[in-house]
Amino acid sequence: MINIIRSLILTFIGLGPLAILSIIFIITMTAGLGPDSGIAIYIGDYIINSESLADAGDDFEDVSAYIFKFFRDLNISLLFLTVIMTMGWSVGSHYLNIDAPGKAKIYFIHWAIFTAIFSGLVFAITFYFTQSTAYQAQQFLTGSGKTQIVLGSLVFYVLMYYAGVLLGTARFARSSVLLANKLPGGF
Amino acid sequence: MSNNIFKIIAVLGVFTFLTVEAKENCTPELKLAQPSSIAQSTNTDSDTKSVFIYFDQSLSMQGYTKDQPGQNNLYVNVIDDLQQIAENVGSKTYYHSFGKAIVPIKENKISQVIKPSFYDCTSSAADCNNQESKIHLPFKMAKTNPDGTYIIVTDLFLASKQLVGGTLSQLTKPLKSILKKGKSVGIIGVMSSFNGTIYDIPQREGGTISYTEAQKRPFYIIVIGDQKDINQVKKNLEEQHFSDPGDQYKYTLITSTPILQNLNQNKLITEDDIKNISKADNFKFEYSDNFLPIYKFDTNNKRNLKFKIQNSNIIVPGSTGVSSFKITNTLWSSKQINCRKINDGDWKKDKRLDISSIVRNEKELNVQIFKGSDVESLKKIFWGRRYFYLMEIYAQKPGNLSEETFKDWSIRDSDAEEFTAGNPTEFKTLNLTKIIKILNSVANDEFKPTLIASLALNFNLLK
Repeated sequence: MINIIRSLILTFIGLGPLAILSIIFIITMTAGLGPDSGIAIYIGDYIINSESLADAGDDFEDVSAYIFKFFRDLNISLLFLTVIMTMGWSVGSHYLNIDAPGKAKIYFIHWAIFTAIFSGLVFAITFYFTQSTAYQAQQFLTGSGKTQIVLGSLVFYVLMYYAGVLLGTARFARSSVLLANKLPGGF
Repeated sequence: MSNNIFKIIAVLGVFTFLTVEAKENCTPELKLAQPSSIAQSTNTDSDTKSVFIYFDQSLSMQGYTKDQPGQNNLYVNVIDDLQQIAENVGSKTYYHSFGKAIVPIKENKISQVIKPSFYDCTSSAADCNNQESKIHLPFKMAKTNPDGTYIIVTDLFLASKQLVGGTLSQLTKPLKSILKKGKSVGIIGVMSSFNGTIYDIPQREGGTISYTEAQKRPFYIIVIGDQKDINQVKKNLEEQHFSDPGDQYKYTLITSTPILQNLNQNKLITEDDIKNISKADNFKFEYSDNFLPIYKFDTNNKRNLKFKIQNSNIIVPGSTGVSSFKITNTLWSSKQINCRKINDGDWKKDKRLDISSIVRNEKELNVQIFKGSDVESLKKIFWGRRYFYLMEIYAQKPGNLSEETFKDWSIRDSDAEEFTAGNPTEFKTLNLTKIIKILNSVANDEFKPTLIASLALNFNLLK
């Protein structure tokens, strides 16, 4: 049990830096951004379709509330998924049946499948947000903006997950996680 | 006490209801185009109206008065009844003949018009009225006194030289003036038997020839006056003379106002004019105080919106029609979709202007709403908003339907000699299409884009 708790602490340490960034982003989106802030300018220039907004007599400010809500909910969903999945693997790794030297490497396949499922879920969530009519903001995004959101989210949250499982996987099962056995002994 | 409370609640309830009703209009600030007056002059007082009948006395007309065995002589029958038809239009009828000049016909001589002797002249050619046909003279008379109705009976056989320069402007100037005053010109062409000589058929090398073998030939009754009176003359002729299937007659109306009416003013736009729209959620159709029909509904972006207008509701029968229409569009959107909560400032004007397109067929004018080059479908506008779309449809350019109507009765100057050489029994009218074209172009010069319909869609676009 102590090992599991230790694993969870290490998981949170692994998740920490990127999760904090994500939380800051979520808070910022909830609070709203000024039109001159860097993120707002970037979203206005590269993510949303300013031309079609202008056609409708709108500008970024008119739809910013929809856009911020979209990013907030997307990131909450992805962060929640990432934390749950990372913790799931970290705790689950303690129950892997590794009873002989070198057997942990066999579980690399399990980890790879688990990671692929996680990546698939991240992709599915971002796809749902950007392509379905669940959020009004979706219709203001450009094609390239949607691609940036999908790929950016995938890279960011898979990286966060990887950092979490890298540290949080049970010591005896670290060979199942890519490069985890190269970590220094203190971790 | 409780009675007072009840009264207060009732009064508050009424005020709340009134406020809600006022807000329910849910329209942005509109500047509606005012329908341009459809300048059809109508002098309804037939008791004081005079009718002037002018008979072409040129020698080529004589052939209509002589029967041709086996052919129906509509000329004699129609002219016989013209006096009675004229009485239906006005109270007093004046008869004249025209050729080189206009000469009044005494009442006791009117019956002579259908006799060959009417077209004979025993004097020298210079003194006779049957050597030429100055058709512009009756038009000049119509210009001088536009309140009357003018009926001209002629073979409309005009050489090209009569349709250029000064001679042409003698015809077009009074015509322009007539049309400007809201009058129209109806041309009824009637194919009748013919037994005589057709003079002045132009040859290619110059000079003219005559032709005597024609058994049938069209003559024309040109009516200048109010559209109502022209239609009356046409209707009477149809009922009395053109009832047999074999009777050939053609009709066209030269008018600067081929538009029958503005559909809004007569509240002719109905909820059924947009297909299946009444089945949409929260559908409501009503006319605003300024005669604007508003279709109010909720829809998703898959709906096809087509607004149809029957040509017969907008185009004057027999007229040139309309060759092109124009739509002016204004689209507003509001992020607030609840009508009661929308303030004037919530409406934002869309910058896209080409929103709907027009597809025409013989019977209908179909406006494909949200199928323009700027907005190709409802999918191209944002859902989750309320829209107010104002569409104003204008007749932009007059058509040329009447030229087509008379095409097969017309022969060009250059083809006349060859046509005559073929010994035709049914002779065509020289330059008829050209004459109609000239008359139309004068009418078209006077044409002004006319608003035929305005309508508005007030809809909540759902996802």
